[in-house]
Amino acid sequence: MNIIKFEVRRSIKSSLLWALVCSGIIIFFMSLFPSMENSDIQEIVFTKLDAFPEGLMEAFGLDNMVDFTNIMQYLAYTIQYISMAIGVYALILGINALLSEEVEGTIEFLYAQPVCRNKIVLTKLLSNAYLLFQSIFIIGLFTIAVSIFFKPEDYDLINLIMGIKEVFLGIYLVAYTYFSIGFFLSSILKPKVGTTSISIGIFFFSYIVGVVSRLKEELELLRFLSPFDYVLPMDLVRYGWERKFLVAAIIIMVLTIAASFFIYDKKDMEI
Amino acid sequence: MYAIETVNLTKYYGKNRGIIDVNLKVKEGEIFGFIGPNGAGKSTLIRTLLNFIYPTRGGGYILERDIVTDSKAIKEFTGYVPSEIKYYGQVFVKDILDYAKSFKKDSSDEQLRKLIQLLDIDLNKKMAELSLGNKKKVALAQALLGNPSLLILDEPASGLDPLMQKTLFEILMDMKNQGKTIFLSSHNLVEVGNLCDRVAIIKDGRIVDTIDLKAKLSEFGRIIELKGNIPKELIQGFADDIILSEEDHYKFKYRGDIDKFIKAISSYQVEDLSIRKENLEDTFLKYYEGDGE
Repeated sequence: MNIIKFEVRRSIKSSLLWALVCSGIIIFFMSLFPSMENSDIQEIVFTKLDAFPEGLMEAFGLDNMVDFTNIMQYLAYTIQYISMAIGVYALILGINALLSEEVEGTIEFLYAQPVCRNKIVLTKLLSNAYLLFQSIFIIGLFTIAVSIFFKPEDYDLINLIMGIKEVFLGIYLVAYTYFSIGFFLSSILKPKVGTTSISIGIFFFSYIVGVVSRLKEELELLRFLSPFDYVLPMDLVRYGWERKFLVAAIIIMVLTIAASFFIYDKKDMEI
Repeated sequence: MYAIETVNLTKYYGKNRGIIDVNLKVKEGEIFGFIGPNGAGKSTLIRTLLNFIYPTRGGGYILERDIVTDSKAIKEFTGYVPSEIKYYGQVFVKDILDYAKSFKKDSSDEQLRKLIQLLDIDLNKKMAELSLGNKKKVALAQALLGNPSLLILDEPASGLDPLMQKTLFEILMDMKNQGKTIFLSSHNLVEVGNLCDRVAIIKDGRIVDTIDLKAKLSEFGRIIELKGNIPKELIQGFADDIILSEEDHYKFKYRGDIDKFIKAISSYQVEDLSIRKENLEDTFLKYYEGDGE
């Protein structure tokens, strides 16, 4: 427990910063919602998008056009981008979880204490998973608050909150999938690599694979390589959860975390 | 029972040599020095003992516990001070020491308070703000928490001011008097000579010699360096160990009667003569300089 407390205290500031920046973006977008609802923007957007080829529309998830006058759909569309930022953050947290101790050389302090390697892995896993949970939770709270503020009077409050809850459960799934991939990398990467650039690289590679997977039906299997596409907020709002991706996410998490324990227990630490 | 025992302990980093067939036996209650040139394998040995890295072959025991399988138990009674202190830079010293204390079952607030006082540690600074010497003091304090039976120190005195070095040596001697074991790696030959009971010398990954310093001290003679027109045979007759022999220039170890030697060379023309007591540096330096094997 002492390691978890220490880790959380050490990283809580950057975690809160991420949460506040993302929340700020959501507040900004939601502040635009009343003008969306009251103008003819929906019609304008539809007109413009009709000019795009169908394949391109599918690739960017625009084939089933968002109803910007519907607060839940507008919110889900906005959160899609926040979900990307959270995905990158989850990867950074995961990759840094074990590796940062070697990068900074602090492992020489930690592992000189009476603590076994599995405990280091477990406590790093829990502390960083907690930081991720907390960040998303804060963003979720801000989202609920700002959505209540801008909600049309006739929109049911309970439905709105339950809808946001569902979207954030999806974000949790995507975030923890990326986090576990990052955590696995943390156990195998050498300390000399740049963790932020690797995180961004991996995320956008998977994102592009996800985009490609939507271009043709035959490529749909590629979607399994893109955790971001497992639970797209817009899809979740419209169609609910897709069981196959839920299972895929759980399998990735279990395998990567189990592998991290195994590898970290056998590796030579680099100081 | 040995405090540290290694059996053919070997570590390769891929194809690169770390340590090769290291066999050490450090007795309980002794201060054991470990010296060698840079890159000889000192840190590799320490990191293998503490399970930061795994042996390629061979093994070792610390107080009869296996260095690989019982590493956690070993660290319950082992304190470690690394040569370079890379503790959490943005964390306050107080929090680092509290964190270290939280791992040690036998530590107490009272013990921590005494160590802070003894080592004159400033608690209200962040680790990144400290000088090397002050970082070292924090590292020493955390290593001493919980009354360890064994201390493993990598260059413990580097960066410490003379007063703090004296305090450190007093702490180490006090621990030795309590029957605790100290294993220290150092480049400071004077420090090793003053503190240690025995010293192992590592070179190119292998232990090339282990010296009992007390026994060695009794063997010490004089180092004589002279220039002059003196027959080589005469020098060879007196020298116990010739260090340098060039035309009219000799350096050698001599353990015999100095009066006899002076009289023997008095009838020759001597250009320069220096005679001094042999010291530990003379013993160690030959290993650093390349003729130790």
